[in-house]
Amino acid sequence: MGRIINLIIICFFVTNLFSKEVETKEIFNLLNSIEKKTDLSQKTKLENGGVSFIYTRDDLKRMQAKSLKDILKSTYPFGYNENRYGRPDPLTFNTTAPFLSSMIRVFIDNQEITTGLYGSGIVVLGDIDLGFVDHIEIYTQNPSYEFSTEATFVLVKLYTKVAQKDEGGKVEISSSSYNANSVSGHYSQELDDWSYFSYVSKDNIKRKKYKSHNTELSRDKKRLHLLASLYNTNNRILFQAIRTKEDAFIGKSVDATPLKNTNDTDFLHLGYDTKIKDFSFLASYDYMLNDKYFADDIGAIRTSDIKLSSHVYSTELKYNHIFLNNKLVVGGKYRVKKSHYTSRIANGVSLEVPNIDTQTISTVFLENQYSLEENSILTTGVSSSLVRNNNSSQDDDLLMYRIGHTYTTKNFVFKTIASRVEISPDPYLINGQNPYTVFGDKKVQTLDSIIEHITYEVDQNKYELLLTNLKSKNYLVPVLPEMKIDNYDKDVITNGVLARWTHNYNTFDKLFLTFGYLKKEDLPFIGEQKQYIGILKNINTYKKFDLFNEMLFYKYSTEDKEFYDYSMGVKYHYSDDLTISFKGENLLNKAKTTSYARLNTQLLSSSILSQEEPLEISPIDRRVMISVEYLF
Amino acid sequence: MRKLFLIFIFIINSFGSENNYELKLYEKILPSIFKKNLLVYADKKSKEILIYSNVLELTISCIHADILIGKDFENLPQVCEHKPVFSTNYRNFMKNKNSIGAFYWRKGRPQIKFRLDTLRKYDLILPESLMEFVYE
Repeated sequence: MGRIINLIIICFFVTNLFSKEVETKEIFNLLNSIEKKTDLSQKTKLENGGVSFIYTRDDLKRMQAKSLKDILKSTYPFGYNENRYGRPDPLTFNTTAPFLSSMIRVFIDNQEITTGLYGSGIVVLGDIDLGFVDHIEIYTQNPSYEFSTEATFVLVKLYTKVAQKDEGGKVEISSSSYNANSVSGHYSQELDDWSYFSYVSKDNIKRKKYKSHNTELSRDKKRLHLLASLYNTNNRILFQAIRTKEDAFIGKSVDATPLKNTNDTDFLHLGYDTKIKDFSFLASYDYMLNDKYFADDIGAIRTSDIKLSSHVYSTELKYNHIFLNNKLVVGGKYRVKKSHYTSRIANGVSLEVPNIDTQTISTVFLENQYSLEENSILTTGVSSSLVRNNNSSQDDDLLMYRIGHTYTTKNFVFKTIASRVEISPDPYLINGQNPYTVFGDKKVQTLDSIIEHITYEVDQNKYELLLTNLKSKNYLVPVLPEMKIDNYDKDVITNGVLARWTHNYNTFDKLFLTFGYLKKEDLPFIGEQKQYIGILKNINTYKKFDLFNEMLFYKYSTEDKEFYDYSMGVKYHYSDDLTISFKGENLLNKAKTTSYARLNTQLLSSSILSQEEPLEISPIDRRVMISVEYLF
Repeated sequence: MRKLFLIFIFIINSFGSENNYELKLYEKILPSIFKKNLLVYADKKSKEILIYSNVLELTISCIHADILIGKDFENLPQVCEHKPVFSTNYRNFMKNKNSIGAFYWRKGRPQIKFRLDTLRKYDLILPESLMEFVYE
C-alpha cells in the first residue's frame, strides 16, 4: 500500500513539475520587485548625506514633473522663488541683486553644473525641463563634502536616464496655457561596453503677463536644451548645452516699468568622471555667456548693454577606503573661475572693465563614517578651502565641519547632525559688474546648524520628524539706498519643525502629508517671521490611468493672506507606446506670491524716495497643460 | 532592520538582488511554456544571471540548446539560427522573427511580453495565466 502511495506521489510530482502554471499575480509581483530593486535612487542615495528628499522615477512620472521648479516648490525649507529678472533664485530678497542662492548647488549625475559668476547652476537649471531625468535627490543641512567643491547647504542631484531602462527613443509634445509649447525627445542605446543617452528639448515658455502702470512685464523664455551622456560602469562623459532667450521681467527698473529688458544666455557643460579601484577623478568645464540689454525712462541707468562670459574649470581627486569599521573618503578639489566682458556699456558710454576677473578655490576634505556598533554610525567631516580673487583683497580661508550620529532600531532611525558652512562672496559681487557689489572686503558668511531627524517605519507607513536650529552670521544682504551688498549686522536664527507621513497603499501608490513650522528671528527687512507649511500629495494608479493630486499651503505671520497651490494630473496609457497626459497647476490661482518692490517715480524726480504698492506675483502660474508622448 | 550595517555593502547587495528577481522570472515562465527541463544558450549579460539557476541549465554551445536567451547573438552557427529566442531588450524582440517573448524595460518599467504567432511556430502553448502579457 505504501509503495502505491509513493508511486502516486511520484507520478503526481512528475506530471505537475512542468505543467504547474505560474500565477499572473506572481509575475506582476516579480516585475514590481525588479522595478523596486533597480530603482536607481536606492543605489545613489547618500545614506549619511543630511536630510534627504528623494523623488523616484515613478514619482516624477506620475507627478508629471515637467520642470525642476515643480519639485523645488515643495522642498523644505526654501521652496521655489524667482527674482526680479524672472530667474530661479529660491533665496532672493527681491532686490535687483542678480542671484543670491549660491549655497544651493545642482549636480547632474556626479558632476556639478556651475556658473563662474553666480556660484551655482540653479540660476540656469532651476526651472529646467526634466525629460532627461530618472530621479532626483535633494539633500539639505550641509550634506556630504564628497560631491561639492564649494560651500553647500543644499545639494540638488539630478540623475540622467540610463539606456538599461530607457533603451530606444521617445518624443513628447506638449501645449499649455498662454500658448506655451514644447517638444522633446531622447534616444538611448546599450553598446558593447558603453551606453549612451541623448536628449533634446525645445521649449517656448509663455507665462502670465503682469502690468505695472502701463508696462507689461514678461517672463517668457525660449530655450533649446541638449544633453548627452556616454558612460560605462566606471566612466561617464557628460555634455550639456542650453541656449535661452528670455524677457527679464522687472530687471533693474526701480518703478517696475522697463522699456526693454532681455537676457540671452548660452550655457555649456562638459565633464568627465571616472573610478579606478578606490580612486575617483573628475574634470569639468562650464561656460556661460550672458547678453543683457536694459532700457528704462527713469533712474540713473537708462540703457545698459552687457555681454559677459564666464569659464569654470574644475578638477577633483578622491580616495575611498574601507578599513576596520571605517568608511573613509579624502580628496582634493581645485576650481578656477574666470569672467570676461565683451561689452559693458551704460547710457551709451563704454565703462571700464574690472580687473578682478579670476577666482580660484582650492579645497581639501576628509570624511569618515565610523561604525560604533552594528546599528550606530558616527560621521565626521572637515573641509578647508582657500578662496582667492585676483586684484582683490577679498581672499577667504574657509573651514567647514560636520559631525553626525545615526542610530537605528527595528523601526526607528535617529539622525543627529551639527555642522558649520562658511561662504565666500560670489565673483559677481566682487568684480563690480552691476550695482550690487560689495563695499570692500566682507566677512565670511557662516551657517551653524543642529538637526535631529527621527524616522519611524512600520508596515506601510513612514513617519518623520525633523527639528532644525540654524544660525546665520554675516549674511550678505542688499543695502537698498546705496544699492550695495553688505554683511548683515544681526544673526538670523531659524528654528523649525517638520513632520512628514508617507503612506504606501501598495508597492507604488503613495500618500504624503507634511506639516512644517519655521520661526525666523531678525530676518533682513522683515524682523521676525513665522511660517506655516502644509503639503498633501497623493499618487496612485487606476487601471490605465495615473492620478496625481497635490495641495501646498503656506501662511506667513508677516502677511494676512494664506496661500494654496493645488495641482492635479491624469495620465492615460493608451498603449505601451502612447501616453496622453493632462495636468493643471495652481488651479485655485492662490499660490504663494512674491512681493516686488517699486518706487514712486514722480516723487523720485523730486529726490524723495517713496515706496509704491509692491507687485504681488507668484512664480507659479495658473496653467493647464496637455502632452502626448510616444515611444519607438 | 539594521540598515546601517548594510551601508558598506549596500551597492553590492542591491545589484545582486535585482538579478535574483530577474532569474526567478525566467525560472517561472520558461519551464511553464516548454514544460520540460531547459537547456539554455545565453549571451554574455544573461549568462551572468542564469549561471546561478538551479532550474535552467546553461550550455556553451547553442547546438543542443532548447532556447537562446539574450539580445546579442552574432555569428551563430546556421543550425542555431532558427531556434526560439527569448529576448532581453525591446529592439531584439522587435527585430528577431524567432523571438517568442521578451523581458525588457520601457518607460523605466520592466515588461514581459510574448508573441503568440512565434510561439505557435515552435508548437509552444502559452499558459492561460500568461495571456495577460501577450504583445498586441
